[in-house]
Amino acid sequence: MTFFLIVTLNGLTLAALYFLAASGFTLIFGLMRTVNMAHGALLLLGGYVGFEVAKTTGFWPLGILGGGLAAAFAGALIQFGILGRFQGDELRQTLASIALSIIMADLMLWYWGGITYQVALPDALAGGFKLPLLGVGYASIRLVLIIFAVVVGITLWLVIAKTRLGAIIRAGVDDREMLRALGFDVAKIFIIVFALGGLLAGMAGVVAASALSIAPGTDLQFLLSSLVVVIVGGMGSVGGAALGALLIGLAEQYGLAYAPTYGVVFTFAIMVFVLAVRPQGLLGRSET
Amino acid sequence: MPINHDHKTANALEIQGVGRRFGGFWAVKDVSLSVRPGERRAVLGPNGAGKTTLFNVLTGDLAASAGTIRMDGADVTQTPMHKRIKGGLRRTYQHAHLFDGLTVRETLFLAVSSVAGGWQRFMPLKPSDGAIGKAESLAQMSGLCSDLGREVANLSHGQRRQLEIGMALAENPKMLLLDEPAAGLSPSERPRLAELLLSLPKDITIVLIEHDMDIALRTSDSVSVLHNGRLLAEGSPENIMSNEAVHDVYMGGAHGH
Amino acid sequence: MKSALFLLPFALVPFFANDFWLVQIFGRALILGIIALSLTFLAAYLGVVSFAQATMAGVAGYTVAYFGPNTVDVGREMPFFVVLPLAMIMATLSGAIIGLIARRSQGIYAIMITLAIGVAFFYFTRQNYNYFNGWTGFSGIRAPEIAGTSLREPLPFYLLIILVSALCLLFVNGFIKSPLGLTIQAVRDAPKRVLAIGIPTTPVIVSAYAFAGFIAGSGGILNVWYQERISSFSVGLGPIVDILVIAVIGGLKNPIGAFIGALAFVLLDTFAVDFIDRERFNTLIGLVLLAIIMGAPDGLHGLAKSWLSRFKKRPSENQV
Repeated sequence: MTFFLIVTLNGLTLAALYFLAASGFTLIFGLMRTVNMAHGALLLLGGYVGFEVAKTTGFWPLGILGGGLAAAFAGALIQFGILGRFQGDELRQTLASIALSIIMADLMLWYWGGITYQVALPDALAGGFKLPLLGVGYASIRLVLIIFAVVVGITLWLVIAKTRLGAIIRAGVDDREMLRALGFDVAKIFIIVFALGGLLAGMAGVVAASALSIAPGTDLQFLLSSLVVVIVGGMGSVGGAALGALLIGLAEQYGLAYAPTYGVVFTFAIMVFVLAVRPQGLLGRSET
Repeated sequence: MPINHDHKTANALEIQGVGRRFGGFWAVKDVSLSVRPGERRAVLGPNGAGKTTLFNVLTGDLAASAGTIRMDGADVTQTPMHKRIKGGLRRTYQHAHLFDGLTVRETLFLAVSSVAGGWQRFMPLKPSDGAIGKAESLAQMSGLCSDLGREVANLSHGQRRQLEIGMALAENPKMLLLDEPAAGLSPSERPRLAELLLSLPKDITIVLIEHDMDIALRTSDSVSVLHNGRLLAEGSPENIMSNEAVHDVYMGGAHGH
Repeated sequence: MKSALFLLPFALVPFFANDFWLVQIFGRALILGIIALSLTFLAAYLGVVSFAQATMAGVAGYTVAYFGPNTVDVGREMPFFVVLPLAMIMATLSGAIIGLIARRSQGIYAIMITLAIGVAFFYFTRQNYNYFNGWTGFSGIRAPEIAGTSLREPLPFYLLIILVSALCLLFVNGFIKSPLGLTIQAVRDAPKRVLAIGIPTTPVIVSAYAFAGFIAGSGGILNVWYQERISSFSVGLGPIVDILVIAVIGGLKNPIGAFIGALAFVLLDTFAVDFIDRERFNTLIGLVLLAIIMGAPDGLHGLAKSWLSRFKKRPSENQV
């Protein structure tokens, strides 16, 4: 029973990370129909920069902020300089973002090398604490991570549901032409949303670098998990990303704990099953 | 379901009390029509009168919420679309999605053969194939003889409508449902389309929706007018032209504002 | 026929090239070209960019490794004339299964789903030891000896590669003119209309993927003989992206593009080390890819075509 609960907690931790990574990805897709294959690279960039900032300033929250801002800036630059040029040609955008992710990954490897980085935690989070009832220790940072993901999720929901930007995003998800007809500067809105997606990815990167660690390859790992999460949850839906992350995170950890050889098969089976019964994803809208 | 043919008395199309509901809204309500074999029937009505919905119910694109549909005397109300197609029903679409990357010949070939079976389907087409010959005679019927080798993407709008009709003529249809065949045509293309419609084999029953009164009245033997989903009037083109109720809702609606 | 003539220059290579150029450059380019051809076929005629082509090739490669001679203690050896058809069947079948999963997805959705399938297969091969020998995979795979000729010799191997390349090109060009090939293109243009003329689309889409699996499988067999080993990395994200890069650089509109892209890729891969740091090859290939996507969306084949047509139109002005 204790083992089961620990595995569940691990699953929730992973789900929180997956959600943080996938939320920006699905936000960008929802508004712009852009599949940003450089999303993982943005995440890794955020992680590296966050590491540097935290090391220099010695203040962990500043690292999260720094990593998030760096990735937000890079994301805005990508949309402004390259992807925005062929808005509407989704296939070309996707291919261009693949090229960008190859370049970014290689340049980061050049600068930061092939070694593994872990962000030093503040003392308050560095240890573990005893879980009530179970009497088992569990790393504090992992619980912080779960709380962080919940806070980000709620904030994101509030931004989309209650703010002007959110109203514009929702309107744009339904009908992008209408936004243009209403006189909005769509190009600017797209850059802002790309920056927002980058911010989420960058912060996820720093959090991943704190709770786990980052290295070359982390970018692809999170890009792929984001893909699977949004395929399962439904493209463009933040709620879907949360649900998808929960399903995939838990499935992966249960798989690892109870059937280590075939953990990946569970993830895959969930994806195929969802595609078979609901091709648009659990909370997604129909493609047509 | 046993299909009960009764050729002596059967109308080509016989619908009784047909309705289609979307939520609480009846797009088509309590419509009854009978169309004789070989008849040319125009269905008129202002926008939103329920013409296209009625078509979709007739072809099986949409299920009927009420009433019965008989074709050639057989009840097809519950029959799926592909079986109605096998039974000789064809339709054209208002907004034509055609195979832009194929040539006219290839498009008509597909319409004729619905894909050859067995090993043949992996073999390149040969000019001697029967289906190719049929495709070419369809091109002749729809006036596209000189465009057989052209890519569909390069056809003019009028030629696309002709190709639509050519596809619908494949494999000896008994009944054609034409959904606004003249929509989007230039004034100079319209007479050509009217001629094409008049030249179609006389044994094919044709029901057409048309906005262009000229084409509709010129090419049809009888007219049904729909209004707000219900049948408003029925009669010969001359009768309909002089019908006051029709003038009020349709002519008035179309020209008065 | 005309497109297979494109390979004629490749057939002349043995007359003046040494074994390095024969196998490492032209042979490798043609093998990668065949696998990329399966992607180009799906992109050009079904309108779907598939990331699972290295996977289909890998299925054929793993079949050859498992049932052929290898130096790891996994699998059971069978004669090559059983193994080769089996490998082709497995690759075709893998294509059909992937098509069945992705059948309702188009555009970017198809990209994501085929990518997820490809990566799932990579993780699966890495974790499964019974059939795929996990992380290590298979080594010591040898091409067979047929009628006293060893296919491990450079010249016979190269001649086989060029024969298979030509056959694949001919297959593709014949297939797209067949009734089924036409229907595949019709599904690309207007799937609902295909239904409306009474053809169900699922079997059409599945057969397109299966055909792509067949082509990728032929490349996969040659590739495993060329590499003489196969492991999860042969079906990982690296090869998956390489195949995509090749197809895009060459041009997704025409089957020949796959071979043009493959030759460009192999030349870059081999000689980039002379003018940039070997480590930075990915940056270079990424920049080349980005330049092609931004400046020449129809790839090198599209560029060559537009230059040729300009040359044909105004031969005199072209001199300036």
